[in-house]
Amino acid sequence: MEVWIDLGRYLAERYPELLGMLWRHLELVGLATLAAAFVGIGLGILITRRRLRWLGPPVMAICNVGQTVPSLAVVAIMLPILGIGFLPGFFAIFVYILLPVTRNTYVGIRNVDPGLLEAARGMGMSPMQILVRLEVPLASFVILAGVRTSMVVAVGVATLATFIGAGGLGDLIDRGISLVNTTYLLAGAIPAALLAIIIELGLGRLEKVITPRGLRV
Amino acid sequence: MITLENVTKIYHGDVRAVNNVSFTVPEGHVCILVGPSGCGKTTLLKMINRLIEPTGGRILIAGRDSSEVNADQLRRDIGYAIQDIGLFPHLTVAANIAVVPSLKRFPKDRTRQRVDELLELVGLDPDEFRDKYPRQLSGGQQQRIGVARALGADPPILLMDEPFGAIDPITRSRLQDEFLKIQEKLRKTIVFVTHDIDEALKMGDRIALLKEGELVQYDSPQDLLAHPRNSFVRDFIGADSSIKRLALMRVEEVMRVDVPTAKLDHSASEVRALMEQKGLESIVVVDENNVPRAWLGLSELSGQTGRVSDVVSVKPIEDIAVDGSMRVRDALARMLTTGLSRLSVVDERRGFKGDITFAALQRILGDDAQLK
Repeated sequence: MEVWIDLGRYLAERYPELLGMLWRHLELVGLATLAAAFVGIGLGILITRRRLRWLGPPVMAICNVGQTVPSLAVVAIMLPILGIGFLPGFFAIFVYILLPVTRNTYVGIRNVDPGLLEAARGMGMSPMQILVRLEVPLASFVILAGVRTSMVVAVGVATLATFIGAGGLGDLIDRGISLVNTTYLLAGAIPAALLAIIIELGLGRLEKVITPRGLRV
Repeated sequence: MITLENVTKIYHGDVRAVNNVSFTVPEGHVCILVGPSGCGKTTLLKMINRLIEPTGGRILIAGRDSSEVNADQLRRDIGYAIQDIGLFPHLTVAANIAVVPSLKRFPKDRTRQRVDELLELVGLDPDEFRDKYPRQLSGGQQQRIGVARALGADPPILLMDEPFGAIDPITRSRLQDEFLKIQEKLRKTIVFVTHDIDEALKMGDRIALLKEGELVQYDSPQDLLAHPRNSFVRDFIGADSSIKRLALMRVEEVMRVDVPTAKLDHSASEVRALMEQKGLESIVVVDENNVPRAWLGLSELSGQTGRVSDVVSVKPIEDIAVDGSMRVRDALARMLTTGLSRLSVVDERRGFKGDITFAALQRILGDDAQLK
């Protein structure tokens, strides 16, 4: 009980600090997700194109291996390369979630019924038109699911970014652990957890809206 | 018009999927590519719209070498319908039909009008179906939309790859009939792939029978049935080729005309005199509207003095007459089930036009048997 009272007091007195960290956390997650979505979807599309299709399996293999690397290791490896601060933190998250976005994009597009693609080609659609009018819309919800998972993962990875001085809610959690102070720990952990849940639910809703009407079950 | 000149497709350096095939599909004709699986019929079809590029030979479309045209442009002028239908699941029926018109940048309102026309053409109510999605449609309805989509930009040429393959037999046969009706109106140049010889015989003006990449025979259905070039063709057609030939003919094409008739109110003696004079064993009796009502045998008239109507028992017209547009095979089936060796042929107003006899059918098939 005391824990909650302390937490309430902390929030009442030091909420600007918490909001600042939350905002930084959001910046890390948001920018990294945005960048990963752009690059990952782009890369995923590229390796489904006729000329680059041979790249698909090796890239997927890298993605699968990459997923097994612990997120803390990815954060740590940024230290000697990029030093400390916001940018290395952002970059660590970006690299870590780039893989699932790429994979989902690739898989989503490759799973479009080949019969549809042939019908499209037979009607005289150019590869670009097939991509824009057929492949991306049909793969949209698989792609978006990849982005959603990535963003949720990013919230978690971002709490580790504190170790390379990127800030965010991780600062509070780290402080809580170092000082064995439950109040700080919870003040950082609870918002982080809520953030992940909100993103999960919010993007889930968005997926439903974006899924073409003809595909909704 | 589509002309194939020595078209060849070689895979992996030595597999000849299509070998040196040449033929011409005249404007407005339906050409069926048929053969056992692996005979190269689909490969041949896809070379026409360059989904597959030929290894050798030329394909001329309306006199132009198709390899000199941009492939996408070429395909927009060739309707394409396939067995999997390939309707885009995320687009409405209207948007699916409008795919090629939109690629060709037709004005929106003209396309909208065209979509409705096409829906009506394939027998679907535009108001009901325009805004539906493919998954809300039955297989038969989807197939109709597939055909409508192939016709979207009103291309002079249609390619169809087993378009009715994945559909139950009853719906398939109905779609085939409707397709033939539509084709009668539109007169497109159509190349149509099937593995089903019955479908080929029913739908085709010309049939190209393929085997292992070679063109074995290119003929009209009648000629293919009457004069199969070799034992492969004979086997492929099947043992019932004579029955299939009857399926291609309509009753009015083979019926006997100028057949004498008796009227119900004629006197029996008058009719007997007529029959004896013409040497008839039996005669058809018609009513005042020229509708056939009964058959009358000479023996039934002997000793009768009243009117014909007193002698005969009037029968339902369905039992004794067939429509002129009926397939001869179906008329034969009628003879077999009713036990009659002679049927009256009537026009759409049920008026008597002529008759068809079992003996005459035997004669038709017999003539060709001798030609073989």
